[in-house]
Amino acid sequence: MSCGMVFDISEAAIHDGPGLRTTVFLKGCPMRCRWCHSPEGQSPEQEMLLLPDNSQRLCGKLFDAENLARYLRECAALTPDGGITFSGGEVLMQSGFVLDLLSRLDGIHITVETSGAGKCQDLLDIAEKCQLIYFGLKIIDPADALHFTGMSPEVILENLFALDRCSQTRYILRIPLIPGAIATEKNFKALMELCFKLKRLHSIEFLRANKLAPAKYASCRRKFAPEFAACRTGEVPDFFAPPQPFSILF
Amino acid sequence: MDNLISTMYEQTRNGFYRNYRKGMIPAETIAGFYHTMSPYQAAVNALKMILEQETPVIIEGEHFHFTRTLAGKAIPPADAGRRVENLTPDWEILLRDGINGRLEVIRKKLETPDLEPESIEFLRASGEMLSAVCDFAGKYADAAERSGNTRAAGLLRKVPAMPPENMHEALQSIYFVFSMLHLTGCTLLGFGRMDQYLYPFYRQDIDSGTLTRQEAAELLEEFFIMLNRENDIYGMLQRGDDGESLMLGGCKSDGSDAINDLTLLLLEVSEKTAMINPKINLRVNSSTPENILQAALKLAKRGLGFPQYCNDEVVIPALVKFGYPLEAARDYTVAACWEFVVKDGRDIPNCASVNLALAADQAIRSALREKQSFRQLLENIRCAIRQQIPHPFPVLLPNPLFSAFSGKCLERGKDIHRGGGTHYHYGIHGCASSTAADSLAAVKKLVYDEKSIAPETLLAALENNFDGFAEVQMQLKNAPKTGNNDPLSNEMLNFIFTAFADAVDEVPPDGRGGRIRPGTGAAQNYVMMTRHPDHPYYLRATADGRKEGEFFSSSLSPAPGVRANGILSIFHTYGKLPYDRVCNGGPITLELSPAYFRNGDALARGTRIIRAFVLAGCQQLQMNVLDREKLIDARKNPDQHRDLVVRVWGWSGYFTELDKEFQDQIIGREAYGA
Repeated sequence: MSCGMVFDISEAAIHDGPGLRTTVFLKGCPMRCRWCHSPEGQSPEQEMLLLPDNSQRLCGKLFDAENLARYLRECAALTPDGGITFSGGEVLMQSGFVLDLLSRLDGIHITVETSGAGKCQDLLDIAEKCQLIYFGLKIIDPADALHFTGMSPEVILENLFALDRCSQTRYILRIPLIPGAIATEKNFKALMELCFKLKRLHSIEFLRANKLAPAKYASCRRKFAPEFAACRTGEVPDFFAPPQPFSILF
Repeated sequence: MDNLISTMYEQTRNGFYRNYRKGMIPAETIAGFYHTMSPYQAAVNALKMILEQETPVIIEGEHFHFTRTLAGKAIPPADAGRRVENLTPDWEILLRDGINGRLEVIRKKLETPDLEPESIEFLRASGEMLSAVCDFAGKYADAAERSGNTRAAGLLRKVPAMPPENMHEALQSIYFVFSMLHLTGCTLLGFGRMDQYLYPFYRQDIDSGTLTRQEAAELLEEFFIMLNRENDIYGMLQRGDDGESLMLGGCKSDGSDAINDLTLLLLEVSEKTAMINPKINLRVNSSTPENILQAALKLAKRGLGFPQYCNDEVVIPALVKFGYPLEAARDYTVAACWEFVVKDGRDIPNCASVNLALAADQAIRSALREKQSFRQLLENIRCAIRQQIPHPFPVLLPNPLFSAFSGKCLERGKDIHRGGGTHYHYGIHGCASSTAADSLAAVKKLVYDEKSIAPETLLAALENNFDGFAEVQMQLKNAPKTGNNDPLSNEMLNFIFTAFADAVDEVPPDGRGGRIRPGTGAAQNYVMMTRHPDHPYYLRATADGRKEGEFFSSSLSPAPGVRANGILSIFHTYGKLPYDRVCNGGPITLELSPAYFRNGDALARGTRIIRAFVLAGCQQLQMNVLDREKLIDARKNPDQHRDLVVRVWGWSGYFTELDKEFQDQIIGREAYGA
């Protein structure tokens, strides 16, 4: 049986899919987005967090698939029109564990949140077994993406097209409105162009920037150096008119 | 009308109506009556004396009439016996018969040959008290006439003497008699299932076109504000602890759905009024409509700390198993806080409290000292609980006025406290259950199974309040905790309530068929048993790592300082309790972060929480919004947070009016769903 590293579980979450969700946050992410509001989810290892009151908290817990699945089945039993959501960190970094879990969660509505940064086959295998994917797209220009997310977007975009082409699972783009980084004229134009090429994209959901993110960096003994105005949220420009419906959440 | 309502709201909040209070109820004179005459005669004389001293107050524009001009409670002396409290009159009797109809029942009953002398005394006393109330309403009508208010005069000439014929009259009748019952010394009175007994009047007014839905809402709003006028007098331990619960929803006696348009309207009015009274309760089941749940959640979002939800699918079978007839059980309401009350009886649902953590602590310490097995430790608990159960049962004091509106007391010729009811049970709260279960789980795991703490080390740590035993305390704190749906803590929690029910079963009946109903509530004891060393069941440091002076949780909730996995785990934990054996009530107390309601569809999602509660098989739920930052600020700047409401235990109060220790306990609660 496989094991996986989880940094948080949120019961009765309301932002992560239909109905009430139990959201599992998997630890470890290949990206280093400067606005990341879960910096404690980036490292795949356990780490000791330093809390504002100077106490410490061990972040990261190893679960075996059956124990976690049993707990998730119990949660799901109370949320008949909701289900389970896997988020991160990056789900694709622990794809074997996730697939093992999914095989133990038959009949439960599964949502997966991914940045697409991982192996294409992993994404398609997971898509096969879930009902909804939130694809967390960020920056399309390679140089800008590398600067702000620590990763060039080619793999992510290839995976997005593969998902569009090869899978049947409904997917929604989820894009945080980070001013000066994501919510720029240049990026919105590229995004709109991209949307016209996607055949199966269901809709686009923009998320307002999370203003609480900076506080968490100190806990991870890291500096929050965003190079953008972290205290405000970006806007969707008037010219943005993709063929799919879009909305702004939260 | 809106202007009238906002004036009434403001004047209620700033204490304006207290200016009408020119005198004090003479407590010594009342005590004198009860010490020198029969309790029936004492009740009659006390009420008559108070009504002679009360002066009618007619306020122009207002639709409901009675304002206290005497301060103070009219409570009979404690040494005379247990007064009527924590109970709901059968308001439908008042609405059906009016006082005149009740007097007629008395007259006929007195014609029965061979009545026992006590029955004659009871019936005469009840008649005298009912007549005194009518005469006093007449005095109010005279005053209205003198001030030229013919509408009020007409209203007061008619009710409560005669049966009301519209919603306004029905509400005035209830308000007036409710106020009179307080003048007989009743406390913590409830309003029962108002969407049921008021509905025929509402329907008729709407159908006949004499009232629009909006006008009905305004009338109810005014009525709700009236229920806050005297609550500084009616409050018991703290202001707001005054009963005035109101039950909505659920099913009718025949099992059919009881929800009607008034159910929704009363929820809407409560949200608009946004005052601490009346405290709304909602009976729910798997098919409660979405719009009712959303309307209910708006009250929580508004920060009112209610409604409290009761799951009919758990409550009704438990009451039936306890012995109530099915039709009566289906018609249940709650007493002041959460205690289930069934009509036509005189249960004392708030008779006493046991400290389950104390029983566990005593058993743990003696097992550690005597080197007993864990099995022996568990067996000790039942005896320890048994010792806390009061016996014999309290002496009950008649209340002939209350009896006139309770079941078949008049028809039987017996006071509610002298055999007029069909059932006489006693409710006992089971406090500190999470601390009890967590202590047992920690001891089982660390001392008995893993043997990582030696018995004498734990004893010494407890004796020294963990001073010098930080390591041991940390181990105990990291043991399994209630609320996480953990097998060991669940087992201990179920054990402790089963032991409570077993201990109760050992108590012999009271000779009138009265038995004890154990419950899951804590009431004020999360403070009294942890902060007041003179409390008989005060408890020092406990084996869950809790230091002396730290609080217990309110009713069913993870222990203070324990952050559970989440809402669903909490429901799973409490959904497994043997509610068919512990059926006195006592809610899961769940605090939501205000962030939960920030999202647009939060109300629609929030109803899923209530549905999860029902699905998990839990019994009762309070779901409150807890904004810790705001509470801390309210402590510093009370003037700016005058209207900030919090749920305290089975009631909501204004935060800035609470004693500091109650404020502290609330600030320390965990909020979920951020």
